[in-house]
Amino acid sequence: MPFIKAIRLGDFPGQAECLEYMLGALAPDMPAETLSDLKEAVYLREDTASTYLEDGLAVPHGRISGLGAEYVVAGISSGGVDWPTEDCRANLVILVAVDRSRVAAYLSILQKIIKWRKSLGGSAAGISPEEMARGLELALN
Amino acid sequence: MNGFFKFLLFARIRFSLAGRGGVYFYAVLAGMLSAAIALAFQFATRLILETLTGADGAGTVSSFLQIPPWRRIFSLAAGGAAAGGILLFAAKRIRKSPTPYMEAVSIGNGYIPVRANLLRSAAAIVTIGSGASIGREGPLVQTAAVFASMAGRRLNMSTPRLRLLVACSAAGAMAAVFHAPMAGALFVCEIVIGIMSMDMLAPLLVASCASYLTICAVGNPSPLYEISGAYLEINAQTALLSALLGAAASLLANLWLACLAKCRRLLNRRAELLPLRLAVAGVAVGAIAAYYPEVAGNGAHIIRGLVSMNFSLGDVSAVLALKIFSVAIFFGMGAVGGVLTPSLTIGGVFGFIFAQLLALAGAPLGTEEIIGFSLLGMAAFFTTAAAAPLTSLMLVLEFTMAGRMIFPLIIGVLVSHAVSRLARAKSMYAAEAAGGVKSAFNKPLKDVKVGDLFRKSDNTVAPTTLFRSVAKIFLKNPDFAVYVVSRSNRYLGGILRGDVLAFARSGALSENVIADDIMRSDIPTLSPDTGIIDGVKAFSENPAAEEMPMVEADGKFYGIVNRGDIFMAFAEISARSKFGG
Repeated sequence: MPFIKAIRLGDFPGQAECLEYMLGALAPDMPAETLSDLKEAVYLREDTASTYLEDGLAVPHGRISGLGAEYVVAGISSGGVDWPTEDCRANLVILVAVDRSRVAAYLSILQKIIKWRKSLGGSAAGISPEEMARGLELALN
Repeated sequence: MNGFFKFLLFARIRFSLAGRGGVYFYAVLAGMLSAAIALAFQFATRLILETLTGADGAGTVSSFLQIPPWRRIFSLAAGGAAAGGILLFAAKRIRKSPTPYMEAVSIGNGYIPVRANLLRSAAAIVTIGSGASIGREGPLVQTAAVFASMAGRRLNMSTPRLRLLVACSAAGAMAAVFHAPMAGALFVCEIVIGIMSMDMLAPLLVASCASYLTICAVGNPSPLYEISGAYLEINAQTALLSALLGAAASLLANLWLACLAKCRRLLNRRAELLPLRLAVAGVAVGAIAAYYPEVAGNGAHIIRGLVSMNFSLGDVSAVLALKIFSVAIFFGMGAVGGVLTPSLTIGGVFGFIFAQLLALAGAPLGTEEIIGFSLLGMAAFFTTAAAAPLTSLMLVLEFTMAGRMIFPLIIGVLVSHAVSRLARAKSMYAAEAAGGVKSAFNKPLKDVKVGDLFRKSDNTVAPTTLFRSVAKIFLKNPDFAVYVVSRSNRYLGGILRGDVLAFARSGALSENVIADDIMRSDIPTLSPDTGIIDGVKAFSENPAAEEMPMVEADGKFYGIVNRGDIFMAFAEISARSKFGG
């Protein structure tokens, strides 16, 4: 079972600020060095291709070495964040951190997140962080 | 994934053609292909024989017996001139030399040029069909090997696999010609590869059995010269006589080898004269065949005559001398054909004469013993001629089914082999297996690099390739990994089958995951310049790795090396180094 945290996102001018905020939310739960590696991996991944999926869902992620468990930080934004352009506006941003060696775990988490998002239907902007945490816990369990 | 799909995937992975199972799968195909080629070759030579002689074409000698002497001369001369014309055309128009299959397998990389070799096969069909005193096994095996090499290259096989496929086709062709699956596999192992190991012998046997089964299914499955009445009593006297015949046959074989080499050196000089030379050989042998039609063909008719006791001592002595002359002149003049069956014939005749002389000296020999000594002479002679004791033993046993002869045959073959070693005789195949093309298999172990054993990988994707495309590659061909390379072909990492196959049919992931997400950058890699010993070590330290990517010093992706291939090559090359091969 991954570590799950749900937060409400404010209005960010862009994707980078949003990512910075979400990574910051992990600071109390992750060693600084690991967090720094994760940050680098997440940005590198966004540089390769956008992690915006569909239905307002973006799943930024990083696979790094020495991560004991999987981490999922879910952020809900009522206004949406350009990911990274206006036509890909994300209301639901779910940051996933997985150990480098656990490819299958990453795919499994991602598959469950996408299915869970589909099960919500319509816009997910109205959902509260608590509801989101519960939903994700059920989905990822 | 549903159960059935899981089962299909499991089966596909378990029996992946990239693994050891693939070797056997291709061995079966190579065997069947060789049998088909053998049948086609036989059909083509018979057609030529019928056209040139106007006889029914059941066999060379029986056809020659049906036609007047002048037509025998015409058939051989016309066939020789036509074959020479084809060979001349090939020599002038095709730049690539026709690598013999022995060279391609023994020291080469399995590559056999197609056009030059097919033209040589056509020349061989014409020569053999016209009744020349030369065997069909050599060109037939070569033709099968050409097709196997072509197919292997189309399938993007690595060097060790391609060599093995060519070797399998050779074993299959030998099995088809002599109806001798065990001898076919041994022939390739002992004579062509030069190393006897189960890793090699097993696929060769699979190929030769597949070939023999095909022949049985569509043709006549009986042994070539089934002999029930051949027996030498097992006692000290027989052992002594067998040893004596083995030694004498070995000495004669040495002379035979020297004669062949001398004829090739003296008679086969200017390529432009090939049609004329082969026509002259045809006229010369045709003139002999006018009186002794037995000298025509590969000698199978003589072997049948021996085992049926159709010859007197005088007849057979003349036949022996004339047969040696006929084979030597065709071979020397540059005809394309084998000398295996002619060698067996000469050995058989020699054994027959040996027995007849013993009988004249007062030894109480019956028909069984005389035939027994003929078989012994055959095996002992071929042992020295081909430097292949096991093949000789098994070949004679398989194509005669004279199992009771095994003890004297072993003695004769062993003594012949020992004498040939003492005389430092070079096999009649030595030149064919030591040509110009070199590969990893002709280097000392320490000089062999893993780059010599690589195969190109079609399984490469860009970092941004969608999961859907990666999954498609795995579903189509569940190899160990798909490799991720940049646009400039820089190696970035690999996607392992074990990581992603369970998700391969996931619709949710197909558009939302890219290769970069699932790529591992910690897969052990090898440099093409890594020595084979270090390569083997790397695979031993990573027992789960079925293959490893090869990355050049500048980071470029070079290809992959397969675990089975590297271990197979290591075993063969180290065995050769051990035995000084």
